[in-house]
Amino acid sequence: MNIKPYGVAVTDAIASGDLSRLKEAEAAAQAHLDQYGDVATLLPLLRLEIAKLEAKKSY
Amino acid sequence: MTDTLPSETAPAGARATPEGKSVRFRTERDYAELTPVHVVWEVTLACNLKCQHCGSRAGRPRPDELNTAEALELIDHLAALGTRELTLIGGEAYLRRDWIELIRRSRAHGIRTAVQTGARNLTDKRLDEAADAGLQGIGVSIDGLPDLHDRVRGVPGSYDQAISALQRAKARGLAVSVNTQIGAETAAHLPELMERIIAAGATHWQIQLTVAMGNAVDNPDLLLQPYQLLEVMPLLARLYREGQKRGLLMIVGNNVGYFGPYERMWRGLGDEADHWNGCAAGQGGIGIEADGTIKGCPSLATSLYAAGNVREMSIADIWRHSEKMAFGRVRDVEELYDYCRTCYYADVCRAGCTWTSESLLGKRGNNPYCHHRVLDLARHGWRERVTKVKDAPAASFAIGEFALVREAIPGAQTQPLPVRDPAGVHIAHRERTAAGGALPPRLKVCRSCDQYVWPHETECPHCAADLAEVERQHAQAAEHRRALIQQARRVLDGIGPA
Repeated sequence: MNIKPYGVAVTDAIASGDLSRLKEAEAAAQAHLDQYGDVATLLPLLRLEIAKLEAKKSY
Repeated sequence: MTDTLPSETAPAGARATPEGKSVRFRTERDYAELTPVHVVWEVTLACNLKCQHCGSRAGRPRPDELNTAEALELIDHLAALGTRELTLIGGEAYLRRDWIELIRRSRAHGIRTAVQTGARNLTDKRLDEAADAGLQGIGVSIDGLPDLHDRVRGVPGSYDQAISALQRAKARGLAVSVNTQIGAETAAHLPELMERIIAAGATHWQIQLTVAMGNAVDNPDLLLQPYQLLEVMPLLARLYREGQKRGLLMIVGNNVGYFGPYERMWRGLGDEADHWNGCAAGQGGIGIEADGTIKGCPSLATSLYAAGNVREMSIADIWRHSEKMAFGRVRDVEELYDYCRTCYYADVCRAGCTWTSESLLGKRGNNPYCHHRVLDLARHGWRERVTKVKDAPAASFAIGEFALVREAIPGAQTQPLPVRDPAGVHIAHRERTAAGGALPPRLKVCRSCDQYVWPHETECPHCAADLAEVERQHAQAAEHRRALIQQARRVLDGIGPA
């Protein structure tokens, strides 16, 4: 992306990638768990994958 | 302006950007057809701040700024060239009486329109009028906590006005962002500043380095020393991750670089195909000065890069045919020198931001503000600093000259840097279209060390990994992650509200 130093920030940009999507899924699963108590086995798996990515320097 | 609106219009679909991407994202078609996607326009040089680092030395309006008819016609021409985003700057854009008319005309063409501002006296009335005209966003410049910001911006109380503007723009539904310049004193302010701008409603935070131009040459102590990137970059990376969790997306500017360990994380905002691929001046955007002078980037020195004036030539002709606009399209590694000439990334990076390197050293092609370079030097016990040797003239966008000093890191044991053969630098083949555009080189990521490498490599030059093997392992892990994400969506959809 072309980010000109005198320009305004690119305000319609969103971050993408597996880490963002895992976090979205984790947040949604947590919300459903809080409400329904039905995704308990899913959360540790999501968190494991997030931890693996976050352990890398460039994520 | 001397011409009429070009008969050709933007190609059908030229405005389309991939789903989930900013309108500023350049598609392959944009590269091929040389679309000036993003235009930054200094609509007036009048300003009500007195910034010590102002490259354009703003204050009084230029004596011959474009009149309303000329400015509106210019917007029509930009739309015809395919421009999708317009940033109005100054000086202070709203000190121009007809700034609302400019916003309205830009929006009538469907161009995403925002204003970058210091926000002094950005009153509710001004915000209301701009929002009514269709303004979509404002970026507020904030360079630190109150003491530092007010000192650098030259007006007591300007920090408070900037924060207030964020809040009031947010309340009016505008996209709200902050631009912060990183100078010698800024880093210590960043964590607390991030807290404050999140609280004020900012969703995007553009980070850029203060550049040795105009007033900054008069105040060289404001400049970050290149070796300070060793501390600043990890701090920025930490704040990038923290901000992302809290709804603030850090955007690293074109002079924050290049190809260090965080490039993969932040340049493409998660899209690793969108890595740094060289100065985009004259290729992806245009800079306009208030008197109609056209440059390939708003920041470039006027004395070196004024490509023409819309009062004398059509902007389409300046864009397509001016040599000073086209320098980035035709340059190659032969114009690089010093460290950048033999760098592994030489032909994709082209010494980073032209504005930064040329303003500093008087010649483009060698850029000490590079994370890859700073880390490489540090591994061998070296660092670089800059020291002023020549003042800048009083003119807007004027440059001075700095000397680059390479010295031992205090307390470190030094080793000579490896000797690299200039003939050994990898050159990427670029096929130019009839319009003069070309797709940039695409690097791949080593899945072991996460650094970018040229596509032909089989062994990572940084960590010696077998690139095919680590790619296979990465693909397996990625497939596992995607299956898990899909499973999560299926489960959650199944138990969602009926």
